[in-house]
Amino acid sequence: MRQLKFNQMKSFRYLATGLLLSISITACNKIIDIDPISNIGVNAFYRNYEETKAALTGSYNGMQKPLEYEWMLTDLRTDISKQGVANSSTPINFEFNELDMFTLNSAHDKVYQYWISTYKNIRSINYVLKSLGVSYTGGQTTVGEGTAKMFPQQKNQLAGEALFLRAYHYFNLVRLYGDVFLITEPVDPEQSKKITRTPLAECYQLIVADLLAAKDLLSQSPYVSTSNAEAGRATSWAAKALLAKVYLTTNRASSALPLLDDVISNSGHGMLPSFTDVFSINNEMNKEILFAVRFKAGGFGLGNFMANTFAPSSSGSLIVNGDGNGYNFPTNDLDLTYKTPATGSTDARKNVTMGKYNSKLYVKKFLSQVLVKLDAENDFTVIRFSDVLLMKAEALGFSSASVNLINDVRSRAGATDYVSGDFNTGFYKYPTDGSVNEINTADKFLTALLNERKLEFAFENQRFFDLVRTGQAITLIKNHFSVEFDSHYKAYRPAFTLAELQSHLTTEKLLLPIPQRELDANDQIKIVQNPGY
Amino acid sequence: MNSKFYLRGIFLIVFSCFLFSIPGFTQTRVKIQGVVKSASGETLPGASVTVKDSKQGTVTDNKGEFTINAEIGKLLLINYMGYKPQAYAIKSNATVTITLQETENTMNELVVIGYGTQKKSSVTGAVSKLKNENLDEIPTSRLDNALIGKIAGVTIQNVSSEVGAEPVVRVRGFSSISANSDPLVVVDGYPVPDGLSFVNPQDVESIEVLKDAASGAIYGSRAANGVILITTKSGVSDKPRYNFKSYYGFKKPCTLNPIMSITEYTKMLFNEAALRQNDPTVPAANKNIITGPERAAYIIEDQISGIPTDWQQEALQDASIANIQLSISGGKKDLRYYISASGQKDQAILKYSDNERLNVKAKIDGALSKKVNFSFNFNPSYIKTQRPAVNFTDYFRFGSFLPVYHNEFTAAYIHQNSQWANILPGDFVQARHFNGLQYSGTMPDGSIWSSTGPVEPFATSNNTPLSIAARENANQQTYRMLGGGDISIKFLPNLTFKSSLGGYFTQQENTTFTKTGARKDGDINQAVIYTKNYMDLLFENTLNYNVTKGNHNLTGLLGFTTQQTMIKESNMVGRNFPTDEFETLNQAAQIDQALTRTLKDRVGLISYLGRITYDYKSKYLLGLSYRMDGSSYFDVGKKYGSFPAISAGWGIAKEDFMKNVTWISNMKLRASYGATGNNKIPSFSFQNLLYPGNYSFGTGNGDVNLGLSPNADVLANPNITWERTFEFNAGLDLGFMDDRFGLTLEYYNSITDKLLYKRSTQSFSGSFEYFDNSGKIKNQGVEIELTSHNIKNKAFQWTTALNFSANRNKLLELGGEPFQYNYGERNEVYAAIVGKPAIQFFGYKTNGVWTSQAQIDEAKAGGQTSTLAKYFAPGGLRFVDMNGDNIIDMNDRTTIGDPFPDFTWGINNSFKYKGFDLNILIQGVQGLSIINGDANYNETRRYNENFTKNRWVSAANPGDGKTPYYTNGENWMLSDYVIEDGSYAAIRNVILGYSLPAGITKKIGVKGIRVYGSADNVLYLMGKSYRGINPEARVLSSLYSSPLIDGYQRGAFPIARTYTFGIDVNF
Repeated sequence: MRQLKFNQMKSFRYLATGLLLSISITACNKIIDIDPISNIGVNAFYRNYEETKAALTGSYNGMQKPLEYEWMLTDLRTDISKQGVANSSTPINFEFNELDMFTLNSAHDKVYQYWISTYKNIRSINYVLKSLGVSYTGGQTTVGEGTAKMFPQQKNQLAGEALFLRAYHYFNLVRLYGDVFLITEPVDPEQSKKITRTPLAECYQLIVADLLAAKDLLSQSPYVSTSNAEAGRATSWAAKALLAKVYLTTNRASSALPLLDDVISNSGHGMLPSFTDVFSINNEMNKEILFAVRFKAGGFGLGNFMANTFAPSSSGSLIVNGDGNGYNFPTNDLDLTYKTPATGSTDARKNVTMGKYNSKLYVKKFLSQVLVKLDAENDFTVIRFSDVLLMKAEALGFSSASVNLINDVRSRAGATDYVSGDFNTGFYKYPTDGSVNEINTADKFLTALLNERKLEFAFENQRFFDLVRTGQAITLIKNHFSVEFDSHYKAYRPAFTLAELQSHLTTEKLLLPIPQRELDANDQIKIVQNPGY
Repeated sequence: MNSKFYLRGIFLIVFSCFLFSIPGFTQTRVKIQGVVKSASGETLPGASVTVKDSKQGTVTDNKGEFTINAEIGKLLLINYMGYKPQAYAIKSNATVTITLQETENTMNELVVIGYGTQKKSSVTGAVSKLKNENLDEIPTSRLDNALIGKIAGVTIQNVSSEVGAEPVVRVRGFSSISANSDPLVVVDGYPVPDGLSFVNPQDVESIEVLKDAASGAIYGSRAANGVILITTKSGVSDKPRYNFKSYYGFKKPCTLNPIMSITEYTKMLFNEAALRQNDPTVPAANKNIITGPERAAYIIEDQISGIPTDWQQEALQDASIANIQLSISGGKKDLRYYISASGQKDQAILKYSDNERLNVKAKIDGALSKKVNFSFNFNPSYIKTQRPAVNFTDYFRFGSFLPVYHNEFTAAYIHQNSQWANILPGDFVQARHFNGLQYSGTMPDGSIWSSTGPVEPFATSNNTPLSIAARENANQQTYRMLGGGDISIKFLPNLTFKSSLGGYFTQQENTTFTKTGARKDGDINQAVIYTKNYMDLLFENTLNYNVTKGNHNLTGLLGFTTQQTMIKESNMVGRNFPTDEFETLNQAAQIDQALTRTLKDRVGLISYLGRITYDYKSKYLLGLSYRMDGSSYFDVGKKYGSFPAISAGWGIAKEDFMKNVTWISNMKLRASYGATGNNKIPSFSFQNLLYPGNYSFGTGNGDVNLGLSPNADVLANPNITWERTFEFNAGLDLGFMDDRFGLTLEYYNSITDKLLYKRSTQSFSGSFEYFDNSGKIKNQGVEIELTSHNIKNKAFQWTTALNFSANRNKLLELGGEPFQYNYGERNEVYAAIVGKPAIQFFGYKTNGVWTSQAQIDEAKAGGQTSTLAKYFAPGGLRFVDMNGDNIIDMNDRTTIGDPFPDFTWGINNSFKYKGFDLNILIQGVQGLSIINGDANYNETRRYNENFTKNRWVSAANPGDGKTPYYTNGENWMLSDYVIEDGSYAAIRNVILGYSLPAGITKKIGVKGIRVYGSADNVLYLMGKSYRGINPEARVLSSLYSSPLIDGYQRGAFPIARTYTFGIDVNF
């Protein structure tokens, strides 16, 4: 009996242990070895043309975010835009003030936001390029064997577009921050701590290499106005035009010229007869647009925010549904620069560029009616044909040919030939007949060129780069401070003098600081801050 | 009742001794057969039966039965741990049933530990127990709120103004810097994510907190933040008992911000202007700097509208709380039940915030045979919460010149602007209505002012808060169901196999409907419907073994559990409905494709566990436990973690040498060491995932092309694994004078290594953070729990329970980095510095303000420079040159405070006098700093006297020399000027009750009636430097959800003072 009892007990034990073991072995792996259901991991993607193309689409999407901040770092720091409400109590207006008046420091949030959102997209692009086998070494961008399987033409197309996007981002970064971190493939957190800033010249080397590769990889077929499902992708023409601007920025006008001539003669792009049509949402990706960051209304999460953020604040639904924020406030100086005489021809660009509500100016270049706040249709133009023309004028320098190029752009805006009268109050083309207002010196030419670019590309985030590129930034922005001092800056409390205001702007301040976070995060190497911060 | 039995027992013993121990009496041996049972009828195996004054004795068998031969006249002594000893006088052969009464001695009460219970006297870890006495009389929507100040080492902080909102619960402070530091909550053995929110306080039998790692280790990977075990009530074998309880209460705010009306504010500005007039250092242009918008606002309030609006009061409502509950319990020996139902409606003092709750609970347990027991429970609940569309800050930042509704004068005035021609008296006022008009009127100094052009008195595009709250409806409904059953089989008398299966299910639905023009003019109506489906299955199998041989007690536990969680979320956004009255999605003109989405997630956990406890005569105690967890949170090869623990105890009071020290009734020394883990990070943090990034291509407006992009903010890391905490705990339990005074002391020292946290990385990698396991943090602390029955007589009783805890944390390592800065929304810095507390505020130390330009010039002449653009401004903050290089720059930032309290404490006093009872809970937190974010926002600091009193005006009127002038100088947020003392002490709760005398209740046919009144937050003392109104409030959303950022508050909501009246009837 006792023996049996013992055996019974033993068998119960075995039974129980056996039960436990059997459950555990069968169940455990299924329970904890699981994959994500809602999102795919990077290691399981980029296998073929379709997937890499979708990832490239994701990289185009990534261009939208930096634009939320780009105007703050460019136009706001020039003579065309300001923080419009002196003594505003809105926190973001403090940040705008710091940019507007060059009093920012390296902890400035928007300086950081632009940085991180741009680098985030560079990562996305680098993943695409990696899967295509594109590498950058020794100043050369080459297409090699990638992990994604596809035909060579497909690969060239994707690689060309991705390289254009990367060059676009780096070009903006170097112009704003100077020496940046040159990341050409996805980096992990440990590697990143060993990377320091790359000298400007080497950064430009990458930008040039990427654009040279892109212009050759992408198809050379000219622009057609017929229905095209691929409109909006980077083209060889866009790459050439951007490369021309890179050359202009790096004082290589002679290298820019052939590219610009190529675009002018062979791209199929050209100016539209009406300036208004260029920005119309019923005419997107028109002949004049070489490249734009595209937005789409309709609740897709792809809408343009500028309609609302730039509309005047507290305007209710009068200007745009959902009210405006009153950001990117046009200066009075810009308002007056557009010639709109009581009689005679007026500058057609003014009405497209800005409006007035309750005596307050606002930007309306990218304003279309929205159903929901921050969801407008307008694309944001990056390279237009008129830019190509004016770049050519810049590359040529002072000459009658270049004056004529300026006049081409002016006449499209409605300027008539100068015969007689007051050039400064009427709206004329620059005379070439030896009149008083003839462009007869290189200085006058530069002034005219910059003036034209200011009017033509206002709020397209070009002004700051134009001023820096031509070396006019300090003079013209200081001048802007004095022009607007009585009407605007004087109202700030505590009050400051014009001299104090102007004193903040030094050559060093033309570069933004490297975000403080970037400096703080690295405990292995000391990252050098830009001088002046 | 119990004491009567006790007296009777003593009497019997004494009487028997006296009667039967007369020498020379004939001694005859008889046979006594008996069974030993508890009062509830359970048989008690292992009870000792001894014959007094002899060596003879036996132990009851597994049926609780015994047989003993003894002489007539002798006394049988029956002893069983946890019960009062009984004596039985032997008269003849007999078969007897001996019923033992449970002792009141706290040392013998059972304490719930993971996967079992243990006598308090045998506990070797740090476990705090709270019996439910009047938790359900504290007027709150949540159980955790009722626990504030009650348990040493457990801090509960109400951070939000919404009723029913989750407080922050921490066990032993900041024990982890991972994504989540919430303790594990286990309801009747079931780990549930929101146990403290849905359990009805009335149903709670007791709450145990496993504080040290050795106690928590049995919960392995989830126990590093402590474990809170909630045990709900069960039925007892008895006649059915009915209980009815109900209370009603109302709430009032304790304190509000000292906000000036525009009239007061403008007068202050004019006073300041007058002061500057006489100050030669002020340039003429700066003497009177009152702006047009300020003057216009004054004119609106003083001369157009006529009445200032107190926006703080407009935010508040007369709130009430009502609760009703009913329970029935009873049963027989083999089937017992407990069923309860309760309903509650709770309103916040903030408008449009309330919480309604319905709870049902049923628990049935019983025996199918002597070997097979079962238990079922079933706990559905429903919670409906209305959430306010705007929080309190949004109210008090609006100037008082804006009325809530237009009156005929304001309406007439704004009609000057044709845009607002349709606005009628009675319509909501919006700031924009007053913009763009010309203003003219009398100023406080009697002068007449007329604007030279259109003025914007308040340039905001936001609607007034009440108009938003009234037109945006946010409701949350949660259906929860916790249920399960278990069966236990006693294979052998001391070997039990238990298998349980449980399910936890919640369905949460959030609906937000925004009417036309709710937030901004031109806003179209919109409905957001979010649902979350959470399903959790738990399967547990355990084998329990316990054996008692003489003085040796051994228990063993083996177990295997699996837990699977499935989470489904969906979000739908529809817009442009034909009317504001319907929010049916198929009437929406547009479905937002970007925001309409679904998400599925799975989490799996499998565990093996084991435990052995041993004690010798309850004197020498030893415990060993082990758990191995495997989790889906980690990559292959990193999934498993093991969590061992060891603990020991020494019951000193039971030693012979202590026998004569009668005033010490209990003395036990405990020590433990164990490992626990933390895996609370988002799923699949070991992989970089792709997220939607669509784009439109094509002629015209283009078509949406689907795209994906690896655009996560946090970089993945395939190497991440468990964060482990190793903790040493030492404890001493003391009882004096028959446990009239009880004292428990705990000391702990824990080290968490392989910290799972979001580490900063270089932003140029595309993300600024990544998950990593590097770093080490140390927590060290003491806890004291003291219970004293100060007065204990029949008529009057006074008991004091005091708890005190202090925790110190120190960052030991941060993956080789000396520090990490984390940034808040205004770029204020939270530094994690190795060798210091894990979060420290980081910024400039201030040294008053620059009182004059002369002072600045002097400093500059002394060589001082600064890279900060606005630094040298009279009336601006002056910073301390920490590194002494005479340059005020970023390098002068230093640590300026931390959000960790020096200590927290609570004192509970309860008094009983005849039918009256009084309970007073006082609680406090001492020695912590907070950042007051209101200081950053002009609207919230402009009209607030706490920021303007004694401020700098001019060189000749420098105020107190410490308060900067409004916008002068550098941003306050970067300095210690916004660091304030977050300490407080509060009389949290007072309950006064009266039980009707039995004579009266008998007449009306009930067992007992008690009526009571309670008051919450009767007195609330705050730190001297604190400029807000609620030191407990914190912002915890977006950036502030980071575990390395804490202590930030903005727009704190007022503390509610609640008065309730209740009745409690027993049938």
